[in-house]
This record gives sequence, structure tokens and C-alpha cells, in this order.
Amino acid sequence: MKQDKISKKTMIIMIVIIIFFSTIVFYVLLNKTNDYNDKNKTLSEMLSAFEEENNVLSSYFSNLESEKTELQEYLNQIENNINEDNSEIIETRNNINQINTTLDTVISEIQLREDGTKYELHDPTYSEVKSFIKSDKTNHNEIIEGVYVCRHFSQDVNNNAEKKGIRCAYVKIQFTSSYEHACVGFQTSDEGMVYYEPMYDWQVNMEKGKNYFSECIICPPGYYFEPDSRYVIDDYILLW
Amino acid sequence: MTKKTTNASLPIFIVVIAIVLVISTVLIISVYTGLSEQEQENIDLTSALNQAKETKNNYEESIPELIQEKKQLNDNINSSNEQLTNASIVSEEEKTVYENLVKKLEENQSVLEQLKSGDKYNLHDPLYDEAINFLDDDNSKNIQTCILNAKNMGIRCAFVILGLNTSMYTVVGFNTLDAGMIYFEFDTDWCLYPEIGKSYADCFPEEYNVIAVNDPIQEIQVIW
Repeated sequence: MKQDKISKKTMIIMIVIIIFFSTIVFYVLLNKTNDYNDKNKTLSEMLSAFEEENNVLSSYFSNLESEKTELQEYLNQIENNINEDNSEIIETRNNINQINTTLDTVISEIQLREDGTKYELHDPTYSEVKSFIKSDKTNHNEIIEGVYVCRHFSQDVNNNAEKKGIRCAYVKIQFTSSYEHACVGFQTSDEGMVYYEPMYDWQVNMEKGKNYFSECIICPPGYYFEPDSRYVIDDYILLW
Repeated sequence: MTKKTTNASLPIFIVVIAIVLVISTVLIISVYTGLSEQEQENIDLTSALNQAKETKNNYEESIPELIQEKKQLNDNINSSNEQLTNASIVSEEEKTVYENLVKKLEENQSVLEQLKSGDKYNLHDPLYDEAINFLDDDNSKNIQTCILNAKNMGIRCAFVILGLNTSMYTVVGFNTLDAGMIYFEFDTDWCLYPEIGKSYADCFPEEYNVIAVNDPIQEIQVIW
């Protein structure tokens, strides 16, 4: 039964040893914990400082981003305006080219027309007609059968009248026979329509159904035409 | 003196030792747990700090880039503004040139209209196109009306007699400013090129396919 007994002293020594080692372990762990505590505190402070700094940087970054976006938008707007202006310039230049071409055409047409002759005509007075007919020498031309006949006389008188600014009609007469004839006419401002036989410079009282030579031509005293049924006026047209 | 030896029983010893061990263990475990938590916190904080450092580094790298980009953008804006100003100036100049040209064209067109205008008392020789356009628009039933219509528009138009051996044809003629004398049948508006000695049919371009009659033109009489 001696084995069941242990001296108090031994017991205390053992307890002391256990407590000693436990205490050492406890303190080592506690120191370590305190170390970590200190470190963590430092880290926390650093982290806070970093976070605060990062917040400032983040805000600055955001502002810069925002400013950059605004600048980019502004730049885009300017570039759009430039493109619009350039498009307008191209369009305007195309229009200028077109208008220049048109202008050249118009100017050359003006030049052509200004260089061309102007024909200012007027309806003459009766006395003007008489005076013109008297001054015109077409009736002095020789009648050449088949070559220079009534229509040639009428043509020449008509064209000479135009040269003098007198409006004159070429009158084409259709007789009831197959024959045709030509004379000239004037729309006088005082006596109305007057006709002249250009081969003789004699006035004509044109009337359908009457014999042109024997009834319509007003012959001067001493002159006359024998009536000829081939020369009855069926119709006549005025070519102004 | 009697030396007294104090003895205790083994179970009591074990119990005491056990109690001491339990208490120590509990305390140690408690401290160890705290230590572990601190360690974990340290790891977390270190990680967070590294992350924050990384973030800061990123910002520190990005911000100068952004500032540079912003500067570049500002430079581009200045340059673009200059371009825009120049483009606006050019655009305005071109518009002014265009407006002046339009004004000049209007003035010249007015002069041209004046020159083109006329009536039976104020005639002008037409351009080739003017004559063609007139004939295209004119639907006269007879030659005298056709000529009268032309003259009423101020266009000088001739009654033309093409004398053949046995008959004659009448056409209209214009002494055009750009193509000289031209002749047309008033009813078909066909252009013809009469020449002494040619048959009437031969005076038309081949595409009209006019059948030729052997009766040559003897004379061309132009009556204005």
C-alpha cells in the first residue's frame, strides 16, 4: 500500500512544474498575441490611411474620368461640327461648280445673242408704205419667166422692208384656177391693211372672188389689165 | 523531534494534477484561440493592405495616364477648334462666293431673258435649241400660223420656198446664232438640209427614210 501514497512534497513539485510550464506557454502565447495585436493595430492604421488615400485618389480618378468623358464628348461634338462644315463646304463647292458651268453657258449665250442682229419692226403709216414702195427698186428688176417672177419680187420687197424696220407680209394668192400669185401687204397704223403688187408698185384692193389683175390692182391712169378668168382670187394667206 | 512525513493518496494527487492540467489547458487554449484570431486578422489586414497598396498603385499609375489623356484631349480640342474655326471661315467664304454667283447668275439670266424675249415687232435670230424647242412646243396646223407664232415670241422665222422643176415645197427656216441657217418641215418638225440640185427627199437625214423623187431643187427662197 506504499505505492498508493505519494508525498505531499512530490505532489507540490509536480504541480509547480506543471504550473510553471503552463505559465511559460501561456505567457509565450500571450506575448505573441500582444505582438499580433500591436501589428494588427498598426496594420489597421495603415489600412485606414491607405483607404483614406485611396478614397481621395478614387474621387480624383472619378473626376478625371468624368472630365475626360466630357472632353471626349466635346471633342466629338467639335469633330461632328467640322464634318458638317466640311460636308457643307463640299456641297457648296459642287454647287459653285454647277453654277459656274451654268453661268458660263448663260454668259456665252448672252454674248452670242448680243452679237446677233436685232430686228425692230413697226407697222408703218400709209404714207410710209407709199414712200417705201417708191424708194424700193425691186420693181425695176426684170421678169424672167420661171426664174424671177412674182414670188421673187414679193420676197425682195418683203426682205427689204424688214431691213428698213417695216413689218411686211408676203401674201400668197390662190386663184380659182390652178395659178398662184404673190404680192406684199402692210398693216398700216392709219389705213389698216394695204396690199401692193411688187412687180409694178401698184396698190391692190384685195378681195376674194374678184379678178386680181383686172379688178383688184389699182392701175395708174393709162394702164389696165385685160380681164382673165385664170386670175380670180379664191383665197390668199398672209405670211408675216 | 519526530520528523513527520506527510503523505497523500494517489487519486487525490491525480485529481489535483488533472485539475491543474485542465485549468492550464483551458487557459492556454483560450490564449491560443485569441492568438489564432489575431493571426487571421493579421493575415486579413495584410491582404487588405496589399490590396489597398495595389489599388493605390493602380490609381497612381492610372491617374498620370488619365492626366496625359486629358491633356491630349485638350490639345485635340484646341486643334479641332482651330480646324472648326477655319472650316467655318472657309464655309462662310464659299457660301458668300456661292451667293454672289447665284446673284450674278440671276442678273445674267435676267439679261438673257430680256434678250430672248420679244414679239412680232422685236425679233431676234434664235439659237439652234431655241428653234428646236419652239417647234417641239408649237402645234400649228399651217405654216403661216407656225411662222406667226414664232414671230409673236420674238423668234425670227422665215417662210422658205424650195422650188423644184415641177412643184415647190414650203418649209420654215431660222438663221440660228450658233448653227447657221436651219430648215424644218413645220408639220413633222423634221430638219432638212436643202441644196440646189438635190432632190427634196435627199435633203433629210437617212434615218427619216424619206423616199426620193427625182426632182431636184432649183432654188431656195428665204422670205423673212
